[in-house]
Amino acid sequence: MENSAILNEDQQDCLQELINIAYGSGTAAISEILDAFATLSIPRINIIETRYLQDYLQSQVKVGMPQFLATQLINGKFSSENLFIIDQNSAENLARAFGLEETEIQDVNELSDVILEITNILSSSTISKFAQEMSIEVSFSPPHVKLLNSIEEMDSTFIDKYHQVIIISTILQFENQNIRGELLILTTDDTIEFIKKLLDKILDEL
Amino acid sequence: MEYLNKADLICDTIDNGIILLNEHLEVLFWNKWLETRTNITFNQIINQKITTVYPDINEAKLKRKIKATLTLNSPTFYTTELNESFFNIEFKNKITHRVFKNMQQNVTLNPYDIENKIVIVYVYDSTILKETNFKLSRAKEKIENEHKNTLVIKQQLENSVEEFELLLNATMEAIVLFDEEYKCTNINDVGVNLFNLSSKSKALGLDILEFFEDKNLNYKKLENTFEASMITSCDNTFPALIKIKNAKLNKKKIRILTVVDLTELKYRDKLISEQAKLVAMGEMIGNIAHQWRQPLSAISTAASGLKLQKEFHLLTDELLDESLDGIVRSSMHLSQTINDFRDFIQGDKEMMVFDLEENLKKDLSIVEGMLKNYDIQVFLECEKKIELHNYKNELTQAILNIIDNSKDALLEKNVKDKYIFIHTYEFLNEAVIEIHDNAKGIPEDIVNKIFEPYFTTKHKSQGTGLGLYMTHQIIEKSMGGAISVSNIAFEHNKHQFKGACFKITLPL
Repeated sequence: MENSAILNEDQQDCLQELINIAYGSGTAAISEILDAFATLSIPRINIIETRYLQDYLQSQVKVGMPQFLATQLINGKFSSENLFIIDQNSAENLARAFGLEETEIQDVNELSDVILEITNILSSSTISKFAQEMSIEVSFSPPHVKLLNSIEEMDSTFIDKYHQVIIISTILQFENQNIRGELLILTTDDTIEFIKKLLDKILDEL
Repeated sequence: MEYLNKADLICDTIDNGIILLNEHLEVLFWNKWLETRTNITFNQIINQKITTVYPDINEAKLKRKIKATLTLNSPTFYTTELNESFFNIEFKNKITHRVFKNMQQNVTLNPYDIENKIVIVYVYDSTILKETNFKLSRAKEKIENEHKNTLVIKQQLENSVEEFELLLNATMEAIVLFDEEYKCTNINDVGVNLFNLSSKSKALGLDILEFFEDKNLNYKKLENTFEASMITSCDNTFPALIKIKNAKLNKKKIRILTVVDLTELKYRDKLISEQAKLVAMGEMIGNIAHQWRQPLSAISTAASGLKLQKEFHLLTDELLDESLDGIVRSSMHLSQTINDFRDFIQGDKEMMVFDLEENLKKDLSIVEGMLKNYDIQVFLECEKKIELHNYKNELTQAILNIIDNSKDALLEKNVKDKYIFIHTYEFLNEAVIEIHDNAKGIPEDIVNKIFEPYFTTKHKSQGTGLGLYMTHQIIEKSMGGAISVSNIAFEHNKHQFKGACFKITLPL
């Protein structure tokens, strides 16, 4: 998990700043859409080798509880994958925040739909702002959601094609409500190169 | 204008539904694709609230999505995975391979006019995709069920293997399984111990002959139970009762070798036989005492007569010779008794040819004194001269045991006129000896037990329970004959009697 090998100190600082701005706007968007005060913790940036990804994800989730895993692809030069991981309890509380009836909450499909929406909102709000900051175009594919009994059930057949992933992680929390989800943005080799060039360009312009 | 026409053309020919919706959910545009699928024309639906036409649509959710789309200036989605359909479009034309009643849809909401709060909604028909998913999940379910069944069957098989092993190991016998080529495939724990193997695996693959001392044993011809000498891994041998059974297991021929260790049984047999011999010797001494009393008294009388005659000077040469002859005769009789006794004690080393009637007469002479003492009359009837090639003295022991048994029964039952009848004859190329008494017979509930060792109805001081067991062993095991017992009724001297009848058959 050595970041410096990929990004130098300036690049890291710059990326952290851009991400902070992007996630700040994400928080505002959620609050506006859902009429609830949500916070996103200060994002942490990690760069790890792909073979450790599963272990990393495993360490981030609560053991012994089914997890919803929502994924959404971000297309364009900043091609990446957004992961939103939320455990069953938090997902149910989130659904209540969305105004769902108790009977609807017991329906896994309804619950999944809420998670898709929040994933979509989180990706759009954060990535759109990030893209705007970096003056690039992005588009979003429809998100997908899966209920996993453990992270090991996640299929990662082609993960070996990549060497490294940048993980930008943040924790979504709603005020006075027990909702905790983790948002991860995973990017791979080509995008990392692209980000590095872009960061250098921004740093040059400063 | 030309551009607008092009846009119209695209909207009307594209293979998707396109709707323009404002924040109040009113329809501002409805393309041809939707017209043909819903049978609702653009003119019919324009400015209508979509939830009025399609009340199934979740209004709150749709409003939220529109708000998110417009706020974020970014698309939001309905996916076919979770929402069966955005609105209800019934298939009226799909007939074959139909899984769903309604069209399955993926829907994307994009911002169209943020200022006027209008979104553009793209509707994709994902029925085929979802059908495929449905079929896949049905196939998966089927495979999972089959897998589950396979697991159950596997478990059952494992259980039956376990049960089989349990049964195999629960027996007292050593059981060794062989394949068609007589190579060992399995052995139970008793077998592992009996053949002194360090583990089961040491036996696997061994040829069946490795277990026998005689390496030239023609075991293939031995179908029934037989006795053989077995050999352990330490080259120790032991006697065993063997059975080799051919069977089929899982369509394969297998051989099951069952081994019962006879070491202890043989030892016990030997012990019983020795005990019986001692008992018989004791009885024999009793018989000798009876036998000797008369000749001893004759000798004593002759000697004292001679002494008296000499004192009174009456002893003539004639008288002396006569008395001495008598003494010699009596001494010879004593000597003969001792010979008989010795023959009997020594047992037979070899089979010999002997006359049955003579043998029986000699037997009776041994017990003559005893029989006289108890006032028992013996009737011997031999139909014809029968020569046997067998163990002479063993037969004597068997006959004496039966006579002794009859004597005890006659005394116990307090029978007034005591008779023992011995009748010999030939029947179907066998010699038959029937011995019956008039001691009222053996109670039916014990008639099957009398040949068992240590079984006795007599008082402890009298019976050992070995006599008839030894008789049985002698006749059946040693002499190759058969013995049975039954209760009979018969007439003698115009009187009716009941008694036990022992029937011995011996090969000629």
